[in-house]
Parts: sequence; C-alpha cells; structure tokens
Amino acid sequence: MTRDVPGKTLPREAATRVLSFVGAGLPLVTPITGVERVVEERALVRLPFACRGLVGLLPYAEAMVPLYDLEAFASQRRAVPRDCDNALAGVMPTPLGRIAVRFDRLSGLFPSGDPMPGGERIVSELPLPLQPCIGGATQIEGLVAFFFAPDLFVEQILHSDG
Amino acid sequence: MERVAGPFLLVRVAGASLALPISVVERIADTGQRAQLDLGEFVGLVDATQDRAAAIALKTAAGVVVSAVDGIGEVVQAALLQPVPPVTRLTVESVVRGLIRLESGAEPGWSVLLDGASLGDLVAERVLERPP
Repeated sequence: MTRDVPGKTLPREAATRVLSFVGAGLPLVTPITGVERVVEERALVRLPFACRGLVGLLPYAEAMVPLYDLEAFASQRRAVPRDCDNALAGVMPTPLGRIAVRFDRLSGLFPSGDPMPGGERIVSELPLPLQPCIGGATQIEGLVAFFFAPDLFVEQILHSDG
Repeated sequence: MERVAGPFLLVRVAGASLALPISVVERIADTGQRAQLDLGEFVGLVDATQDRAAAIALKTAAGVVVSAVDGIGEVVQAALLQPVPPVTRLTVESVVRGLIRLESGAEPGWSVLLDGASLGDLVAERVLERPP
C-alpha cells in the first residue's frame, strides 16, 4: 500500500494513529501520516562541518536525506553513526524538504491520544533546545509521550548556531 | 551542482570519504617541515584521528594528516547536497560543494567534495593562528 497521498490512500483510522518512538531518551509520538518511511541507517555519508545534530546523509529514493540525532541536537554533542544492526530512523517530509530522525527505539503504532491538560508545564521541563519541537504532551497506554513536530524541528535547525 | 573539474584525490578520515581537487595538492605522504593539521579533527568529524596513516601537503603553506589515501579518480556522478535544510555550518558551507562518485576509489559510494582552495585557506589560517 502506498502512502504517497496521506489521508487518501491510507485507511481512515491511520489518520488518527501515531508512531511512537524514543528520541533523545524521551517518549515521542508523531502522526503516522507524517512519516513517509522507516529506514535503516545504512550507507551513511558523513559530512564535514556538520550542523548541530546531523549524523550524515542517508541515500533515500535516489536522493540524500539528512539524518538527525535528537540527543546530539539537544546536548550539542557530536552526532556519530551507530555501530549496530537495525538502527532505525523515520523519514519525515517537512515544508523545507525531507529529514530523517533517528529512533533510539521504535515502540509501534498507537491511537492518537488527546493533549494532556497542563502539558505545557511538562514540556517546559524538557531539554531547552527540544522544547520548540514539541507540540504538547499526551498519554499513550497510560504513559506520558510528547508530540514531535518535524517541521518545527527543521525550524530549530535553521535557527541553531551550528 | 555545477560541473566539477577533476581529477580528485580521495582521502578517508574518521570513516568519512572526502575528495579534494588534485590541483590543490602538492605532495602526498610527505608534508616536509610544514605545520600539519588533523583533517578529521579540523572538519569536525572526530576529536582526534586515531589512525594518522597518511599526510598531504597542500599548495597553501600547510599540510593535513588523514587516515588513508584511497586513490585518484574522475567524477562519474555528482549530486547536490539535498534537501533544503542546512546540513553544514553556515560559516563554512562554501567548503562543502556536494557529493560525488569517482570512477576509482577504495570502496564504491559517495564522497564529499571539498572546495580545495577554501579548505587550503582555512587550514593555512588555522595553522597561522596556532602558537609556535
């Protein structure tokens, strides 16, 4: 089944599902319609003078997509390739182009939860560089998770100082 | 990416494959008495290159050390650094020109094409900044 036209070729319920993953040690979710594909970190091209959080470029669909590590972005540590099998990342379209976001762990698909009352307060306790990339908090199977917004993350990259 | 003129020298630092226009290279494997920079460290790929197996003298007054020299080749394929989000630090973006595949290389795959003149200037500048 293709997912080229989100909401059109997907089953109706998919539009209300979220992909749950761990990034920067945080439980994150993003609408499944905003994830083009889950890929393995293979044939990564590392770049000199990489901007903050960038691990390298992943060959994808006859092009290159930048792979970002949220932990490295938040901590300003150097992002390095992972030395393990089945290292996964999600390819996410944004208004500025596709990006890939590294998954520390992929948890699965879940029905989207409602925003948590008082979620802003919980978000304000997250690492400062990541806060603008988070659209609120929710609960997935009784546990707190944060809405990750790829387009806001790209905005942060654009405005980060390297 | 605009047409790129070769040939190119393919070097390896910290697991990354970098290509330098051969026109900016004076000698390989001998930098003489020139000040040297660790290329992997300089371009931010690693804190310090573990394996300093080869040295390259640039035509600017400096040299760099790398993990390996993989060969010399002509470009068979070139690509832009896509997509739009910035992937390199803005101040040095002009140094990274794009991705290329060379007709000969130790391993097939993409290499990062560096603007040799800009890199040479940056390296020389850094060397001059260092205390003697």
